[in-house]
Amino acid sequence: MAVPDPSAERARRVQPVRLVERLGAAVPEGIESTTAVPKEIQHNVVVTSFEKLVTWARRSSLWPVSFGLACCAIEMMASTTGRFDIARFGAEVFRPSPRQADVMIVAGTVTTKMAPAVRRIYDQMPEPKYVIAMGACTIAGGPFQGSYSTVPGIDNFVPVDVHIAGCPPRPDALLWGIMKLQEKIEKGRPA
Amino acid sequence: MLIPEGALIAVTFYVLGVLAIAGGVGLILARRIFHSALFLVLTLVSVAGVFVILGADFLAAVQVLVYVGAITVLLLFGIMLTPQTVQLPDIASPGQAISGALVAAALFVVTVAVVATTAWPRAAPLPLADQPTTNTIAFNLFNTYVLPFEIASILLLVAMIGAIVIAREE
Amino acid sequence: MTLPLCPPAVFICDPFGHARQGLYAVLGAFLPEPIPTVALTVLAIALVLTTVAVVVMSQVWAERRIIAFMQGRLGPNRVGPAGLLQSLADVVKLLMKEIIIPTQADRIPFQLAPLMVLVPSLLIWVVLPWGPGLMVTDLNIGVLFILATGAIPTIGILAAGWASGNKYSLLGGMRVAAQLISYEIPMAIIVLVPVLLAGTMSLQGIIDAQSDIWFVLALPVGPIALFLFLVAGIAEVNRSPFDLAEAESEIIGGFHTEYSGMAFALFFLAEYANAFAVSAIASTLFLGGWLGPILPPFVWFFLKAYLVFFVLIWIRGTLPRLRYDQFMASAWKVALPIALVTVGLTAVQITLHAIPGGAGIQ
Repeated sequence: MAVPDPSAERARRVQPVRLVERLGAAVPEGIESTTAVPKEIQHNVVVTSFEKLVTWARRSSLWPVSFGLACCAIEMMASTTGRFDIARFGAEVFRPSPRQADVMIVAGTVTTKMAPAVRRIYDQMPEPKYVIAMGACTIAGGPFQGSYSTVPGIDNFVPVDVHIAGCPPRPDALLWGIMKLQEKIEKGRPA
Repeated sequence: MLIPEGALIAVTFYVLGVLAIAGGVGLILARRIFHSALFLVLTLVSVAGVFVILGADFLAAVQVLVYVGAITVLLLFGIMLTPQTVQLPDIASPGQAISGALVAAALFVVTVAVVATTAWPRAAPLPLADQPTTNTIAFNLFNTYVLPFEIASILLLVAMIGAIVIAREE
Repeated sequence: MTLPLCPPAVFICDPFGHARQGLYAVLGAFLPEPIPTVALTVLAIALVLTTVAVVVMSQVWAERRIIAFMQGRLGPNRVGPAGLLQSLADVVKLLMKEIIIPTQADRIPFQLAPLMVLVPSLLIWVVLPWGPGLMVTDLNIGVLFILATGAIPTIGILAAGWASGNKYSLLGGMRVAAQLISYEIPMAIIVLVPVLLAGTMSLQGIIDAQSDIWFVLALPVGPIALFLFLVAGIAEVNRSPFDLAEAESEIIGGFHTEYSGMAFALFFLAEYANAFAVSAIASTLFLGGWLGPILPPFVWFFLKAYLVFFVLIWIRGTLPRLRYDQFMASAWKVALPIALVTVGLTAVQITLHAIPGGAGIQ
């Protein structure tokens, strides 16, 4: 007999991500990039060097909001230490306030109780903003998939730009994810 | 000289005067007390500017340091720690507004008339002294006026001790 | 043995002075009187502001690299050669961010607060001398002007905390304001030490009085005064170990939690400009400013200021943060008595003509 579970009901009612038609493909809303020009009008449009400067600045200075939830957070902290050093990419400035951050690295299991808070932090970030889903729990629920209190993947309520697989992914993998995000910012679509 | 120096000083004085009056008017008419405090800062800084025009540099700096840097901060602390839900009573009737305006206008006319018709003893404009005003103020404060200085210090000490005694938790 | 000073006749020793004379001659030839002076003053101000901008960007880079090296890491090294363009990337990114004004916020103080914090830190640069005669203006109350303009950002911080409409911002703002006004008093008292030793409040006069011996070497009050000035200066600019306002585990972002984009960049810029101003003032009051052999004076000025700023970075990378009550106790129970005693000792020493090196008024 099914036990009524209000938190699971709430998780199921969380808004799915809107897909928008952009650059000739269906991509989740939330990618902000202006250098890529659709193929149809490429011969009519020239991208100025100002755009290049702005995308260079945005990808060289990604400030994460400190949002470690569980074990992946330990790997995220390890990536700020001497062996891996996320500071080389300019990203060691973890801002406590989402208003000053660019990228939300969701590191750890997102429970149904935490999901509205994650969404709220995402909403409080100013545009342009990016989301990195770190670890198996944020991609599809991870080892806790099917549990009564885990959200099966944060794709259900925030648009994700880069997924990093692993349980937990090594700090090198997080750095790879950040580099992939930098490529995505530059080219406007998955590289 | 393209612009005579007297004209420059006069223009600066009028600009600062307008700013000070604007600050005062804003202080009274602002809806929120916090905005009133910020207008007070404008008035105080304009008055410091007027001191600079008069050549009282030490006084101008001390005006900013003490009034803006300390007293206004204290005022803001007081404003922020009190509940903002206290509403000032609105004007009850047009009659009240008209009588208020009449009294204010009468006061203004009387003050301007008195100021304009008094024969103020005109001091010659002081030449810029070769020693800074700080030295002059210091010499006078510690020689001629040392008694008021000491009394003021004791008064401040008494006030501080009183504040500590009142604020102390028993 | 005294090393030779850079002779002012050589162009490289005083490039700004030579440039100013040349420009004044050119402009004064065919323009009536106030215009060349005004134009040169405006040019000087523009130069100072540009320098402040460049210096702040270099400071951000230097801080991140140096703290990284102290922690065994590398710091930003990809963004330009050796990471030099990292600050530029930060600034451009912040410029292009969306500006969010919360609905609960009081709009006009919210937008005015960053300006109230930034403008005084730029004003301090008006009186700092880069060389003999190289400053926008030499006020004869220079030191008092610095103290007065250093007191204005407190209002900006209170306005930022209040206008954000966020209770954490309000609490953070009030704590920072209490911190700032607590340390204004020891700072105001301790800058009396170089003023007493030099006999004047004008910064150029203080540097001239250090021609024989720097004030930091006027034992025993010199080193104590420099140390206390640095402590009070670090507290005034909210740097570690006094950065309780920005302690993320304590109060999120404190008074600048709700600021995004350009407004936050202004707070950021103001903090570093203030830190450099404190370093420059410390080097002017205690380390002799632009005095130094062989090299041009403005090189000495920046060298000494960067040295003091390096000490500030070092302190930040080494010491833990002070708790709020420890901090207030240190201001009122430790710094203030030491400052008073130091000033008293200086006055006694001057009266007894016991200053080593002969500094002091007669």
